[in-house]
Amino acid sequence: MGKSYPAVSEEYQKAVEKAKRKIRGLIADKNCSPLMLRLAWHSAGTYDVVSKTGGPFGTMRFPAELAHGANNGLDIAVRLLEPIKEQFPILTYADFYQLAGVVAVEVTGGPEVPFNPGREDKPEPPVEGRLPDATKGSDHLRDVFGHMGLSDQDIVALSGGHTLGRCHKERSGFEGAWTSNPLIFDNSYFRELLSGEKEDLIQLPSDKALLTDPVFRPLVEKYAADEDAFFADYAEAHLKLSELGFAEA
Amino acid sequence: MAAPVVDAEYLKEIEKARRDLRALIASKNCAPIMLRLAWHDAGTFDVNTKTGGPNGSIRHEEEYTHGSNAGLKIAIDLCEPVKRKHPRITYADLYQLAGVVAVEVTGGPTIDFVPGRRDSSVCPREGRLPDAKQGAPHLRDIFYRMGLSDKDIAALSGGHTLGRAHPERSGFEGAWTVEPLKFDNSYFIELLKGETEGLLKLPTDNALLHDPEFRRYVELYAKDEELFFKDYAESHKKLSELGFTSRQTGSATKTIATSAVLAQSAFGVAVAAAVVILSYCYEASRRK
Repeated sequence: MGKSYPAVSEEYQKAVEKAKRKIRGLIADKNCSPLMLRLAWHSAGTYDVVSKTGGPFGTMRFPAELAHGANNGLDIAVRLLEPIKEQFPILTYADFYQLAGVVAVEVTGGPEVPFNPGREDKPEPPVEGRLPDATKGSDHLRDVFGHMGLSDQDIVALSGGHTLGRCHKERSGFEGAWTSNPLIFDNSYFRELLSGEKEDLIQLPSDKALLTDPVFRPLVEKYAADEDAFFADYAEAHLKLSELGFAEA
Repeated sequence: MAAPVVDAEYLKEIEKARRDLRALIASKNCAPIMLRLAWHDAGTFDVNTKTGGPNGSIRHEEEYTHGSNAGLKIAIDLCEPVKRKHPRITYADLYQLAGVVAVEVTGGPTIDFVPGRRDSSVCPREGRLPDAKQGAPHLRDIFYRMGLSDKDIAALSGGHTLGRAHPERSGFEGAWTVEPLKFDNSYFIELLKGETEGLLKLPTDNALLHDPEFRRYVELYAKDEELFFKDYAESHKKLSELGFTSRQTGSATKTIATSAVLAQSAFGVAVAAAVVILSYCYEASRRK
């Protein structure tokens, strides 16, 4: 599907640039890039391509959506960002949260994902249950990402986002980081996946599912061998995700 | 050493190194020491003798053991894996790129980075960097010797928005601002507030308050962060390029040069042809 981006005022564009810098500062100060990426992903990943509901439209700020089980811990991200958002009332929350996700990838050494402003805030959060369940496998992943309109390649590339961060018992029930450098965005998620279980690193059932599926596995191997290829596919997938339901031609 | 050939491949390596430096800084929270490394490599420049400057000489023991460079071996060691991944990039470029990235990832302005600095193993003598215990006349001596101005002195001092002083390094202790990992104008706001419990003000920081020229900038930057960012970016770029003129080569510029020559030649031929035709017509009309 082609994109037809709305025009935004010069004042809005300037606010985006300033907010981008403030978000960089926040991440530098609090090392919260993983949480910012998850906020953006969980905001966008609720999109349903048939009903055109959900998606990256700022609804994560509502307590109702923060209370979804899948969003445990994201109240912290919303709280950390609020003082910056207050400085830029002209920006929509929809744009602001996606901007945070793009910045999180950039400042940790990842690819520069393009950012197109103009998303509008929606008044109602989506129903619960659209984000993936970490205990499930390939069929479930295809089901969940299929509802968003994303492809097999997108599933594998976006899984590479686990290069950042960790799980927390009190949030997802799982514990630990996927890589030995959870604040650096690189292809080590895929290399760790292929090299088997390691004592202090985590692999969710949904991560391991990528190894046993005949379409996912070659992509895991490609990204483990070629970081540039991973970055290129990741940037494409992240851009798609961040613009689900936005600027459709 | 010869200047590096800045072709398309070199530029690609720079972009990869930029990402690696972002990752390094993100994971180690070392933006302040990276900025200081870049500044101390560049700040030895003498505009009269054209010695010193951003040429990577600080990586040599002779220079990093200078008193003013205490602690910078840490930054030099942190950069080494990035240099090994991208051996073509000169140390001079790498250290200045680290400085630019340090400012950007902590929320500061984007500073234009031009690659192509050559590495030198000639270390300047100790004493060219500012002494924190001194005042405005000393600051002017040091920075004018680099070829920089009063505005540069004031704007660059804003770099103290990042980091802290360490008793085992400079002898001073503490951060200048409440958020030493965020690049903003709070250094100037704090300076105007006066002494605050737990925050540092060096004699050279206070000197900016008592000198009327410097104070003017302090007040402007405390009030207007966008202006501080604009001036800081300019001054940082100047500092990072002291004694350096870029000489970018490569097929991109060659193609432009060749087609410019072709266009000029074609134009010349067209003019000549026009003159011939017009002369013929003139002669012809004369004969009638």
